[in-house]
Amino acid sequence: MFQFIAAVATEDGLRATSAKISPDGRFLAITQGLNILIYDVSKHAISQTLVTSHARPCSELCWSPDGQCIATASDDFSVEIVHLSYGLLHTFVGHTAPVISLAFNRKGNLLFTSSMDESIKIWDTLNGSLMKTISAHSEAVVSVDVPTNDSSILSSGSYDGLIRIFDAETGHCLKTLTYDKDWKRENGVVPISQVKFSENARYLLVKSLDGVVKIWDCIGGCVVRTFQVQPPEKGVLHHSCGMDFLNPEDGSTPLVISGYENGDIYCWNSDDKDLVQLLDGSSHHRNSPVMSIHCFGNTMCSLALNGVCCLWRWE
Amino acid sequence: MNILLQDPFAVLKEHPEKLTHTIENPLRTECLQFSPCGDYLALGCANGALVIYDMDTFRPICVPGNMLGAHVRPITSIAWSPDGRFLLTSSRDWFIKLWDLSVPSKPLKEIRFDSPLWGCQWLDAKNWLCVATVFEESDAYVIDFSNDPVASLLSKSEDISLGTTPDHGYVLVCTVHTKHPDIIITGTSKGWLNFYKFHSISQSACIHSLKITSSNIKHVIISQDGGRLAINCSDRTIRQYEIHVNNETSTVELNLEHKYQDVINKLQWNSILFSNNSADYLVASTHGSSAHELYIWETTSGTLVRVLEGVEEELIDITWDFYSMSIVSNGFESGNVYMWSVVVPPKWSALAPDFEEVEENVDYLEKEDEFDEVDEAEQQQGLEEEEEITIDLRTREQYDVRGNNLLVERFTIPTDYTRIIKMQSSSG
Repeated sequence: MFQFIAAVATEDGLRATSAKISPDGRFLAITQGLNILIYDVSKHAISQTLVTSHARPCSELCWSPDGQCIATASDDFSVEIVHLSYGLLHTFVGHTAPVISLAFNRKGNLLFTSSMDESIKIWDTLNGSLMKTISAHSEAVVSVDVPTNDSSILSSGSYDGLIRIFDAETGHCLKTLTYDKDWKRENGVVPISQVKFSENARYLLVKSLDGVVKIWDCIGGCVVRTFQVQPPEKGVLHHSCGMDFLNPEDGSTPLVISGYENGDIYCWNSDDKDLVQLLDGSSHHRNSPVMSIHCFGNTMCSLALNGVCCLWRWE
Repeated sequence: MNILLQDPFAVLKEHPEKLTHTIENPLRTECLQFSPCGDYLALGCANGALVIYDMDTFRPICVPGNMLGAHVRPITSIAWSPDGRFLLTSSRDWFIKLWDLSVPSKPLKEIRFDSPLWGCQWLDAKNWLCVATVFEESDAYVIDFSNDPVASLLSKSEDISLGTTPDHGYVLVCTVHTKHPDIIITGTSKGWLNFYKFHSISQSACIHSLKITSSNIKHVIISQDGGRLAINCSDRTIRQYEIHVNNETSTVELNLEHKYQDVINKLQWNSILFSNNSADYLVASTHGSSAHELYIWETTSGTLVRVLEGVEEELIDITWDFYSMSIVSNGFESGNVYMWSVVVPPKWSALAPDFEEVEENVDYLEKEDEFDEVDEAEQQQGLEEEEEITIDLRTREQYDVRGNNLLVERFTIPTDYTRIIKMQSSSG
């Protein structure tokens, strides 16, 4: 069961979109407006506030694998990499629409970004140059993910309803995951809102805007688990609400954690699809949409649009 | 993981085919070596510089010794530790240097000899032991880097007790057996191959000695599984042996399998290298200004299977990354670095899973059940069944389809942030 540990004191009322735990688990970074708040998990206090030079708010942030830098994707079409002590390192300009999602590779030498301009770009983080542009979607690409241990592939999810897996080196599409049934709906395709690889990268967790979370087998190309809120209408999303796997430190079955519009967080067992716990949205997140969920070991952090950020521990 | 999703026929190619990249190195590359998992490529240069390239971006990311203590003469060999964190370099400036890539600005340790070095290699990276060959020495050295570096000659004491030691000439090359890490193999200028059993830095015994030829032995290589040995001699022949080492009785058995020669041009071979695991392939670079290729033979049959072309100059050193299946070699005149890789063509059908790529037109034939009404309940049941298969989200694959171990430690060279800041201030 999840135990509530702490609520991070963010600036009240200022919209927050993304919160991520650092690779060593000691810090938590939260984007709130143009600022990044760094929260020290052990001291339960904000230890640093970084001011980005973005002109518009950030959609997502991402820690570099060495935990020294934070990359931010902004609505002003640019991406920044900020070092915690040296300050701004790079500004990547090249996208022609708001940048929505981003991910580092295992070595931290490449950054993958996805944008409303329907493309994915690969950047060289040492030299600050654009390496490649992948154009393979016909709508905004709202999510990219790279496996933690294997940077040879990346996955993307788009509002065109397609989930694609690319070869990170060549940029070629290796596989497209689509659900025939989704295409047959009378009201068209279901836009994807987030994709996330499993620990071994063989499976992909996918959330779509109808609030359904699925686990896809990347090799076989089929859905192997479906998680749905009951009744289904309750799960329908207007915001891209967050989700993540929680891989318990004791090696047991991973949990699927997914946030919703009313601040509810659902935790399912990834194997038998049982609802393990429902964290009620009215008590902690004051019914604000859960924008971001990120897990590290047994720790989970959830962030609502109203700036309320909670830390939980799985025991 | 990407190779699991690619065309299996393209992936299963066991050697690269096409020249895909050229890295221009103004410092002139003398020797090169891939890091154990192919993340990085280390280049040893003519001016003594050691430059490490990142193989994702094909750009230099680290120049060990940029603050202090770089070599001042051409580097002759590079050896990575199995975890990819430590590097050994030998040079014609009489030094062997040990580098720690987590603090690359100066060497961690170094040792000076009394003449230039031919090469060095790890003997036991965990215990900081390495072997090296030195110009005009009758034996190889074992060096212990654990404290202050000390070097000691491999002793030939047993031979001396026999009284009549034939003149072996100078030791030119040495290598360490891949499966018996205490067996050191050396090759001499008069064609002798010696096997030593290593006990400690001061004690090792020659357990086998044989004369292969009467000319220089230029390279001795051994396959990853320890079953094959190849020797490159200046008599223009590469000899491939099947090798059995019995570590308990300290006996060595060698059976000649193949001899590779260039029959027409009678070329010498600059460098040789085995492919991974049981060494199904052998690659060699050709000596002389008229030859610009790498030759690849199949080792079981001894037949030439591929000539890697596309370069306009003589090629020297070779290194092979088995994870990405690419071979890299350096040019003699320009010092540039050339890379051959397996080229996997884009699979357009991957963009639309309902489509299938066909070589030529296919006549459409309606299948028996193609337009049958599928009962929705039945379809739902099928999907539900699919959801009952057990899934493992956590266990990582141990080997890739090429047989490379995926669970080995891979050291990441720390990002040089001061360099980024320097670039910023110089451009801004």
